[in-house]
Amino acid sequence: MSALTLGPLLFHWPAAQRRDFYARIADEAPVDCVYLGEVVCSKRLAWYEKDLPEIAARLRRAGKQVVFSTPALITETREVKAVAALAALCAAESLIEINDLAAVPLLGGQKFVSGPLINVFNEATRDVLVRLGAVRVNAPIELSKSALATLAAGNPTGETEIFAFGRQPLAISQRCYHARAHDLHKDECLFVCEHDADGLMAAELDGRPLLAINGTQTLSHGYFVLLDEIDELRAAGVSHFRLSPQALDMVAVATLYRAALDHAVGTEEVLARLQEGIAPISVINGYLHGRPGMAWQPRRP
Amino acid sequence: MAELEFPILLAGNILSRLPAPVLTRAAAVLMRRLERRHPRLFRALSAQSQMMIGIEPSDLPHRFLLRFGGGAINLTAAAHFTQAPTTTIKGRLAALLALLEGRLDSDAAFFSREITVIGNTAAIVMLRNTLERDAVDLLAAITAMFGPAAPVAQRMALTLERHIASAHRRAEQRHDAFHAARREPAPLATRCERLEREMQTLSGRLARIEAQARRRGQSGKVT
Amino acid sequence: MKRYLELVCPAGTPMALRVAVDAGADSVYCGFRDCTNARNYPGLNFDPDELRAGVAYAHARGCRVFVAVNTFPRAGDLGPWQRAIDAAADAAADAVILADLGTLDYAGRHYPRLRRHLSVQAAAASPLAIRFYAETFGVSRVVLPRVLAVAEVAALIGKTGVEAEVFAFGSLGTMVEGRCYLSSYMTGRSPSCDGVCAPAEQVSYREEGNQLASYLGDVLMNRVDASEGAAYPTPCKGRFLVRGEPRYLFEEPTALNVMPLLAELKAAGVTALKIEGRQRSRAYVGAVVAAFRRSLDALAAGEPLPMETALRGVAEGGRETFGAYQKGWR
Repeated sequence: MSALTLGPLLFHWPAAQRRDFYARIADEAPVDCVYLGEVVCSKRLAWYEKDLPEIAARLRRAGKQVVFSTPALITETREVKAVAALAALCAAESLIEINDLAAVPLLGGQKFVSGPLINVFNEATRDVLVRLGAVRVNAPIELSKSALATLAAGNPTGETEIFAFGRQPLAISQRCYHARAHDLHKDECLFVCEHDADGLMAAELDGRPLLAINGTQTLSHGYFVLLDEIDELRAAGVSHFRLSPQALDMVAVATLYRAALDHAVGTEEVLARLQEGIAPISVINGYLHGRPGMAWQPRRP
Repeated sequence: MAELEFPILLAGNILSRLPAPVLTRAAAVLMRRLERRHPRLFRALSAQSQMMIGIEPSDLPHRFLLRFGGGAINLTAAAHFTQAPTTTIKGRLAALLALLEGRLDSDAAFFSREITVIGNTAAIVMLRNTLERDAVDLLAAITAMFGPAAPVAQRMALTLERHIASAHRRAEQRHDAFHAARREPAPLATRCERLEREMQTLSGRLARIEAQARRRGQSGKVT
Repeated sequence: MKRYLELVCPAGTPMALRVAVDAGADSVYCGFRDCTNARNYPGLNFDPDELRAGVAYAHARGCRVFVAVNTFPRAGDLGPWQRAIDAAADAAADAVILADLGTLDYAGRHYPRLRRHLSVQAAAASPLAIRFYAETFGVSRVVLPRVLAVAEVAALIGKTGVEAEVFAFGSLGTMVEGRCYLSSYMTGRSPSCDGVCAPAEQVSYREEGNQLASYLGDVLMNRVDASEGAAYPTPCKGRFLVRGEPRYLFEEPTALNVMPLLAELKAAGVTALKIEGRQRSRAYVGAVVAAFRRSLDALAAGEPLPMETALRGVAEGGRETFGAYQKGWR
């Protein structure tokens, strides 16, 4: 049985748009689990923190597991406090996804999901995390198909999650590049990242699109799409497939992926329909095949 | 600066006048000497997969081709490359020699554009790192070729020392120039002061024009 | 002689190790000739015999040797990392510098008496993260990421009680280290697992008119005029079009130099200063180590620090910065 998950919304959307997005996900998207919370910039949380309990409740009522995601970097006091508070709140009913190992001591022994920004490149590291309380382990996006298979195969928790759709998070920094691109300082950033629902494009000097900037995070410009590799990875033990929210019709994306997982629609057709929605932005999957991440390896005929 | 450059030009001139085949023969002798002095280095270089590096001293009319890997090493001179090497390194002879001896930091020489690399960098990085493992003493090899008292060797020694000193200095000067070029635009206060001065000048001129106009007006009234 | 701040110096080759020791390094760090360390460049690094000889040379002169095994093994291929730790222990290295949880776990279980330093590749930048590594794996020193201001460094040392090693000079990445996939995105080879950012075989330069263009894989990193300095063709130093304008989106080509902050760092409780640059030449190592040795000795003796202008000549982009140590960097 494969689960479809919706990763945390990485971009800074206005609170109303965010509420509407999750309402529709709760009502219509065939996903089994939804990650909520701020991973990229803890300053953003103030804009929508108050909405999260209601969003979570609605998702749960719709039968979805809710996991609270925590920041990629926990350095400032407000970040430490926020994670500690979340841990206390979630103790009873929800899991927490960690994206910085600094979160582990704040969990007080609670079980957790190891997020995709934790460096779990190998089975020895996976086992350390399981000993520390991980019940589900996300693989880093950089791993190839065969490494993913090895990582999933011996996972004692039986829950291995991989990134399946969306712009791939490539780097995180203490510096805010959205602010920098607007000649602003991080402390007085005016939340300029709000204007780019899918990130701000950075192109090569000759104009070819290359990256997408999202505050302190840098993502791929192309959309990662994992489709043809699903069956092989599932056979190896991958249990959860993650869709990363973009400013697209994510209900449609989730529906297509559900159909692909269930073999209800062929992957070629799913890909064609995803590409329609994404165009003119390209699709990428290079990491899976040991190639540059920005490459696309078409299905072998 | 000029007198320091003089011996360099001299050495350049000597080398410039030699025809390529003579240089190639001299290079072969030099390489054999170096191999005897640095057997480990030569073993390491010839053990690589085959690589070819073009060397273009900007102050010589000659081009050199260094081939290493695949069990052999050789250096040949030519007026032009007959086939384009995958990597070419360009720079003054002195900088190139200092790099060979590990006496100039290659990255710094690259940052300051003292040397330029064109093409794929795999071969050049491999060569640089392999050279870094051994202290190549070019002067000792040359002295051994010509005999210690040879004026050619002495002149080359002097030239080389000065060359390296000036390459270092040029690198620093280039860095200073970059610093100067990147200096922040005049701070706000300075700009305000300048504007204030301009305004004072302008209001002075305006006052004079007004005074002239008044005088003209008064004279008008009078007339 | 009591040294207030330990000077930790890079050695990409056995020759550089000797240069660093002779120039006054208190400790030298190096790695093996494979993907187990983060400077896996062709022709660089040590084999086990070279390491043994290097350790003997350093120990005879009162200098310690740390071995970086600071990349992340890919699933199904733990062997090289375990062998690297075995070889470091066998060569009587004074510490191993590690980042991967599984590798830390292996080293702790098999060589409990071998000191474990936390690599900057683990990017532990908070008291919580540092305490996590100290308590879980018995890490005795942490190399701090280049993202903290001096006051933050001081606060962090106060809260953890773990030795702190901070970067003092050299190249400056702006991304959280060990978690940056930009280079593999463009080349397929991973800084985290293959130990190489902007691998040499994927870097090329072309003359385009009067400009020099640099490429990483087939990605255009930058074009510079003859009057501009060149930079490493790493993605975080590239110039890209953002909002229609070419700009150094992540960081200008620049080198970190904390020479003027030595007294502050000492006061902050820093144990060791780290010079970056195992991929650099021994000329660089000699110049930088000697300059820092002079300054640290002057600092220890309470004398005024010598003016060290020579370092600018080896700085990337010919430009120096305090990086995050100074407020406003973020």
